[in-house]
Amino acid sequence: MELPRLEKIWQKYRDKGLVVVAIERSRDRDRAQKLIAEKGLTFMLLENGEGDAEVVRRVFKVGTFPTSFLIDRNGRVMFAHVGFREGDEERLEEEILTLLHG
Amino acid sequence: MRDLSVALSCCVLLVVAGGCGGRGSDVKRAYEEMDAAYEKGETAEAKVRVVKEFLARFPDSEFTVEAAETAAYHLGEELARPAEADVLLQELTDRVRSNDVRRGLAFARLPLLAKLGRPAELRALAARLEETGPLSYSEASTLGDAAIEGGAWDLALTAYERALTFLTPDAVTVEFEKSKLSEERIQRLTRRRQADALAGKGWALANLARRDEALSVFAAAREVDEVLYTGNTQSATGSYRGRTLLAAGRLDEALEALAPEALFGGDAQTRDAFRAAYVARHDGKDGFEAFSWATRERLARSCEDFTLADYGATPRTFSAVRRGEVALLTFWFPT
Repeated sequence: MELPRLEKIWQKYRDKGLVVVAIERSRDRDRAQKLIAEKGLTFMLLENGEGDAEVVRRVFKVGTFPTSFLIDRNGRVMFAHVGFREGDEERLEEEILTLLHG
Repeated sequence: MRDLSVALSCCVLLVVAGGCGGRGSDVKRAYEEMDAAYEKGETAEAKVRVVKEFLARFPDSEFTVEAAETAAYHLGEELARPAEADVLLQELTDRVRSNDVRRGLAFARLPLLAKLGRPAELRALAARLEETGPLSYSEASTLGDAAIEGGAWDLALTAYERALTFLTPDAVTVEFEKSKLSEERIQRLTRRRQADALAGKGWALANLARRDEALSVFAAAREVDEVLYTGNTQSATGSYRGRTLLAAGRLDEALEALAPEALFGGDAQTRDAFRAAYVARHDGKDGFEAFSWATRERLARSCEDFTLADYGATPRTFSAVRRGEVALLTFWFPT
């Protein structure tokens, strides 16, 4: 489960200019909300509306979950990360630092 | 291989959604409890423990293969203890009667044998599986991935060629009949699988010293592959093709092929190959960081704006949320 790790990253860098947004892909609203409450997630969580989510998926071509993107201050997508394994957050954090300082 | 964890969680979800009846209700309850405890598990070790406890109680059920694959993934991949995972799968196999479950467990052993550097056993097990029944798409693909990891290139080639025989929209429709996927999803899935299998086939060919054939297979893979926002492809085509071009000494092409993966999130092997191509091309690593950053700037695309509702039904527009700051955008799937 990658979201608690994102919560940690968000808490660490929110005052340094990082915004975290998670978009839920499933249509299982109850399960998603239960998880969000259980894990105490406080960053921006957006819901899959059927039509809109299709647009988002088509735009970002996400076919595997989780997939994460890092967007720089100029609005460019500078990093993509597919899947999540133990230890991946280190690489993600490194890239975040590069963009925050860039 | 990189999205194995996702594939596994989706399997688990489908099984729960599919349900089961009759004498399985105790098993089902135990499975659901295990699933909840698994989600709560903070470490790979804790996750493995709950899955193993479940398997010790119910070694032979319709959940055995998924549970065993999950345990094997955490033990073999995350905790780097493939030998322990293999012992677990072998012990389970001895306690299972159903041929389907035994077959599923055997497939779960393939990547472990590859990781353990036991190619002879990998080949023997693959041969036994072929004898007991024709390979399905996912079986052929699992075998192909394991053969690549184990360096058994001829085996990888036949496995991916086998996988490619399933990749018509009709075959995918039949397989997912129960899930009622839309036509568009089925087409995407078909293309995705084609790209994966072609990438694997090409890499096997490249390693069998059939480089020209490999490059034409990669060209076919690129036709069907989906390209992410960052230029990364969903399959390993970019990395395999770039490494093949590097080996052929076609350095400029190698750099161009490797750049999206190496600079926007690929694995360490891809990043190493990118650096090696640069060093060979420029006779040293001077300027590599500057070159990398400039290439990244050249290839980066702007993020398209979108509006979605939060859980309080308030519409949120991404550009307004982001306010010119650095943003981490994640697409997730509750399992």
